[in-house]
Amino acid sequence: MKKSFNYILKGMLLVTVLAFSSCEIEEIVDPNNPSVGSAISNASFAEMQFLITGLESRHRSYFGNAAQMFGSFGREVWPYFASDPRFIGDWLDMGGDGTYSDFFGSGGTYATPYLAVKQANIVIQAAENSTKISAQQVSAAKGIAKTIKGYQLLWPLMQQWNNGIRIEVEDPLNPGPRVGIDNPTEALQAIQGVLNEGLSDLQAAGGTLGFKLSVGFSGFDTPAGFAQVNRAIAARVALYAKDYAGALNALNGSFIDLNVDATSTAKMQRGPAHVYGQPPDGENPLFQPFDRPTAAILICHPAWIEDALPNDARLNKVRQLVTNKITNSGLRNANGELLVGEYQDVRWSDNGADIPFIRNEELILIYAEAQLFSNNTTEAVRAINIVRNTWGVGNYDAAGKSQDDILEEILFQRRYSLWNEGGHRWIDLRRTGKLDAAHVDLRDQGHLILQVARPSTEINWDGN
Amino acid sequence: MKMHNLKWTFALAMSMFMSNALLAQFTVSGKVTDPLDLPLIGVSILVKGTSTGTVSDVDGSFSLEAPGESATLVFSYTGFKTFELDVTGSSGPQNVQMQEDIARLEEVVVTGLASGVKRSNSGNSVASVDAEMLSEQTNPQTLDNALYGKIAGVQMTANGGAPGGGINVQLRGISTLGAGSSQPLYIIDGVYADNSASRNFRSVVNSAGGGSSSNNQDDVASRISDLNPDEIERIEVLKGPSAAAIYGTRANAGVIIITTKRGQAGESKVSFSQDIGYAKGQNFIGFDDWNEQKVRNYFSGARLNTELAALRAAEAEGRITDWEDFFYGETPLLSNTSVSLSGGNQKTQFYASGGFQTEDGIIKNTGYDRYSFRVNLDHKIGNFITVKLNNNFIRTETQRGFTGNQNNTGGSIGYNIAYAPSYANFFPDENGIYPDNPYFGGNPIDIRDNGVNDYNVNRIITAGAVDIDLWSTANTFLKAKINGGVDLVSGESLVYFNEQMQYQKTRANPGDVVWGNSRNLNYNLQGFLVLNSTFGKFNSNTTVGAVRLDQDVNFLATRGQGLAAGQRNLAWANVVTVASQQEQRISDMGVVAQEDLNWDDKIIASVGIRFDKSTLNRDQQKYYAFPKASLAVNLHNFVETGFFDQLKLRGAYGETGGLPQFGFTFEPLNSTIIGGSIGGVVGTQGVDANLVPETAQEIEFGLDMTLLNGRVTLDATVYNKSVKDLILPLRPASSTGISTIQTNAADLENRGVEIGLGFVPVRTANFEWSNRLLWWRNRSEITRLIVPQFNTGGFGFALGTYAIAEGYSPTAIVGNPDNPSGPVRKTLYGDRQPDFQMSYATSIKFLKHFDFSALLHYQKGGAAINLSAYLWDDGGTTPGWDEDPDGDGTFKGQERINEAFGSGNTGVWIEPTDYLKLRELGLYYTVPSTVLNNTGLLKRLKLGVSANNILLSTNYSSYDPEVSNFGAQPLAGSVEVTPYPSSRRFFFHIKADF
Repeated sequence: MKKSFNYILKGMLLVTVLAFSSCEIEEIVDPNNPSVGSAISNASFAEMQFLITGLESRHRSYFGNAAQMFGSFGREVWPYFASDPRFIGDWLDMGGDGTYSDFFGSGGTYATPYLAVKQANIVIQAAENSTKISAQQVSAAKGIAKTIKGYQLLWPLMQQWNNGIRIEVEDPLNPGPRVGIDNPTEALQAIQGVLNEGLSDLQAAGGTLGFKLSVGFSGFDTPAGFAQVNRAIAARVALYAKDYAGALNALNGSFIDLNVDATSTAKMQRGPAHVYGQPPDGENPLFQPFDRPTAAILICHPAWIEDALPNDARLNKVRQLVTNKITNSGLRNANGELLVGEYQDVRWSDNGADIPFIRNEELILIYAEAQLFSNNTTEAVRAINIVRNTWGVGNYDAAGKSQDDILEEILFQRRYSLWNEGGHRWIDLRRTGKLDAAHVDLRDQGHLILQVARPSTEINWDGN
Repeated sequence: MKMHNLKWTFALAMSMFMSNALLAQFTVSGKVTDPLDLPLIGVSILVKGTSTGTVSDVDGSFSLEAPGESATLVFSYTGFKTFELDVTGSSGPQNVQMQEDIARLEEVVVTGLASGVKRSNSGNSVASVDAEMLSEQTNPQTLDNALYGKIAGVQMTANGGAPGGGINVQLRGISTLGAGSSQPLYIIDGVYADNSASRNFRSVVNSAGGGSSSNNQDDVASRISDLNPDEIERIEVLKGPSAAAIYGTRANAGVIIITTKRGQAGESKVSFSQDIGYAKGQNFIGFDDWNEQKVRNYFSGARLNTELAALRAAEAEGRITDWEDFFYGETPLLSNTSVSLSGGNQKTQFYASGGFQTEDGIIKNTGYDRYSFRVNLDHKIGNFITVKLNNNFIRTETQRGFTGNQNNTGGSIGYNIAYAPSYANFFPDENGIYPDNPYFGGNPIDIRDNGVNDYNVNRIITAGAVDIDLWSTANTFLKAKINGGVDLVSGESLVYFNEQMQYQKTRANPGDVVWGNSRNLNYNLQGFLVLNSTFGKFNSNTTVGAVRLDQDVNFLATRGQGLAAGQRNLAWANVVTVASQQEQRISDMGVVAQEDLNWDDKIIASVGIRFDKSTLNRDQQKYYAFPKASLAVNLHNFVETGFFDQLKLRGAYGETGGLPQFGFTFEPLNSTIIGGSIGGVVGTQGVDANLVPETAQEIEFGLDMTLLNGRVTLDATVYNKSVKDLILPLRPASSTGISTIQTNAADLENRGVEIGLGFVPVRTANFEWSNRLLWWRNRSEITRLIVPQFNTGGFGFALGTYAIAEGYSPTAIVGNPDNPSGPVRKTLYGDRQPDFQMSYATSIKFLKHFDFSALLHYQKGGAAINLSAYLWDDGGTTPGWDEDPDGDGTFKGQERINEAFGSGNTGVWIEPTDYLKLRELGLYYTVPSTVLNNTGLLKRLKLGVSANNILLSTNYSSYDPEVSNFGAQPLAGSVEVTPYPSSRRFFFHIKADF
């Protein structure tokens, strides 16, 4: 009896102990994704490739917001997006009260480009820490990363302008100071510095990049080719900084091609592009099938049609809606009548169409402007006419025109050549001091926005 | 080895029986009745100190053989005071009248993972809801829904009124700011139940994004709603850490312990119940009928002529429609059928049930069906081993349709009709073609008729428990208690918009479908040793043991776009993508020790500690300690006054934890595809290497009083629950590309009072009136915040959001304009948390056979962000939109929009949520047994009518002041965007026992 009891007792204790013999729990690692830590410790070539492809993906993400929001600020387009009245109310500043922290729908040209900057910084860090790739590959990776980083920094600066932006953002807990407060040129110079470093890296990268880029970079996918992209971006930055000699110098190293006419319009389009595709790839943010019953569509501003020169082939970028003209209760003229949206952007064949992010046509117009302010008016007018004749509007009559008149002409050509390519109109008018009602049609009763207020995380961090 | 032991067990058991049979014995018989002299069926009668016993039969009669010369019989029956009776061989037939335990002082409540005490000895405030309050007054929509107003200290908000529920439950205020589990831990018969809300990607298909937590705009039900309320015997709620400390690292948001029904020894009982009823939409806004003047007031320019023509056409065709009534005006049938069989003998008891609930919604093509089967078994092996087995299979099928938020897609009925004038034509033509909606992105009739948003769940919950008496003497026993269980939830979701729908036609790849499959498996095991010793007037109960929980989750959602006509199979999609794949594996391990001391029921003390580790922690192998202690002093047992049945002072302290969410300790690269290559992008989440779990500490004091023979009860509790090391996203400057680093950044404090008052003013054989009044309030405040103050939840400042700022409530609602001295430098408009809540339940038994009950619930204060009102104003549908009382030429509706956006006054959309609700009403008639006896078949027949949500009185200008677009999360609740309206529900009931 006593013995049997002992057996039971021992048996039951054993069961309990067995049940918990696995007191040790197995360490769980992320079963779903690789970790950043392993990528930056000593990346293999495959891991570097993986990060560079990721960089190209981050690089394209800003574009939709730049076209839609900056485009609305400069009245290139109207945002007929019914689901939220703030697209119209805030973007067109109907209340005249300007922007505010965390301005509606503005992350795409602030936080998003900084994600690309973050990715570029990780690529640079991973390349520097890697012993598994060659020194030339290290330089190639850094050259690609710094070029894209420089380009991406331009977007938050365009959005923030006089607020300045942070350039050094490697350490999330110790970000560098804002650069260019009330002096955007200072920030532009800092960006130029990043681009210049990228150029040096590319020049040290040998004859091939080693890494695969998407077809958006075809023709530019060697260190020398990528350096042309780097210089094209540098030319834009120099122009914005009013560094005309620098712009011309940069154009020299870029892929600018002045040998264009109406028979070779494709040359105008040449340039590196953001690529898109069917899901799971990203879709072209501007493509929408033509004339469908949608409640959300970006519409060409009627003034762009009305102000055009006769026979301008660039008007083919849009097409008049037939059955699905659109209105929005927030968008009315001075009489309170609804403004009808009539012209849709039809530049894109489908949702996988590439979007060039810097093109020869822009380089020609940068050339014109840089020559104008280098007091080479003739060369400036020659460049203007290359553009005008390509699109069938004939030569510009420069007789008796002042420098400012010719600048107006260049800005006019830019308005049509670069329409809806990320808000050039708004950026151009602001940098030339012409962002006013004389240059922007405000029939929508809205107001002009100079720049977007600083995001609250930035203010909070500085206040911390 | 095991076989060997088992043999010995049997041998031992047999020898015990043999020796018993040789002793002297005598027979006792009699009858058990209630205070009204009605027979009590199924009363357990045990010879004290033995396992010999019986149960009373259908007439209340019993007869048993007692050993020896004299014995003490113990009569026990749920809801009645335990009664002891000394008998000898010469005692004649015994008539025992048992007294109701009105104050439920003898109910055993949980104090440890392997121990419990009588309610009268508990050092904690205990809240429990029994079957009668839960599901027998009326038919609740879902289990969680059935708790509201019945427990002090609870705040609930629903996702909307859609069939199948979806409720956010907060016990004693906010216990996490989003990192830990915001919902209580649910334990069903010892099984850690899954209460996750798996995604279905509805919010991707209809773009219900924006807002600061787009993940949670899927409008899915939390899985606790799968349980069939009819099968539940009792729910016990451990509201704060002082009681919930025994559940350690997962108990910060409280614990809800659910016990299902079990068989009782005695005659087999077959019960059948049928509820049948209907629902009606509640509290409609009453959209305007549009006339020519209104059209002119809202439209202008070229559009005006189009609209006037449309108005005239609609008038000519008699097509003017009240869209609210059209869509929400269905009167759906609700039915709930349940059959159960229970019974058994002294050794084996069983309870088996099957239930079928089917409900359609007040919107066509929405509904909810639940099938539930359960078998619960209790068996005694010999005299030493008790085995309990529970098995439950559940299938639920939910069609929730499309309401709430959307973006551009038109994928929400409510959003569409906010912009729909009464003359709009959404009706399909003779070919079944739905016209495009010129006022918004989708045709709401098309969405209703052809949009699919289904969620089906197959679920198995199975539990087993073994109690083994290892050793016992007259004063001491040692037991082993082992139990464990599995909860397997398999969910299948389908969200589908066909290629003909208006928004789809505008897409490059029209037609959109997401198929989701989730499989959540929880399995847990615990083993305890319990040593109980009595020394004179002292009793000591010591428990030690270990617990383990594993969770394994697999989720896959696959999306197809560009669908062939009418097809939703992924094989017919032009583009197929993985919308999400998630794998989660989690292990928790804990060891527990607890000591309960009882001095003669006068002073009862309890101390315990639990050490837990979890793979969710940054340091996966580190144990965190969760202590607890409580003390109860029963003053009435010191001095016999005869006045107090009970007068108890109690105090308790406890600590619990809140684990970081899965993934918070990882810094992943995310996959991306561009130009045919796969790349890795750095995520926006950084990791804090020093992250520790959140811990809550609670101290509570209370007074429990019962007087006048249970006619008056009062319990009052004050508590202070502070949560330390709250995990919050540190938000670096967004220029760094890191948007969040989860870090221990804040402390918050919840202080509250809970008062319960019960009184039975009249109690006669023919009339009994009992009342229960609950009053509770909770105040929350963030007492420390080391990250910059920030806003969260909602849709940004312009539309109202929540501020996280030191010195403010975490549910403070803020908005424009700027206010330098306000939280996050914005204007403070209110607090989601109400000033107080109060509920009143009354029940009247009259004319012997009638029962009447009612439950009223009052909330004072609180605020919500009513974005439905904003959309109605924007669309011109608000009643009286074009009135102009101030004569300034701007219509009322437009004025509100202007004020919100022109003058930047967000307060326009933030409304107080005071309300008075008549939640439940029931009237039942129990057919007298004299009538039933003639049938010879029925033992009991009860008929009744009931209703819930009958009346709502509120100034809140939408359907229901307690609703949320963002589902079950601690902070972002109480933001509504054209939700599924709540409904009133009316039932007829038949309950019969055979």
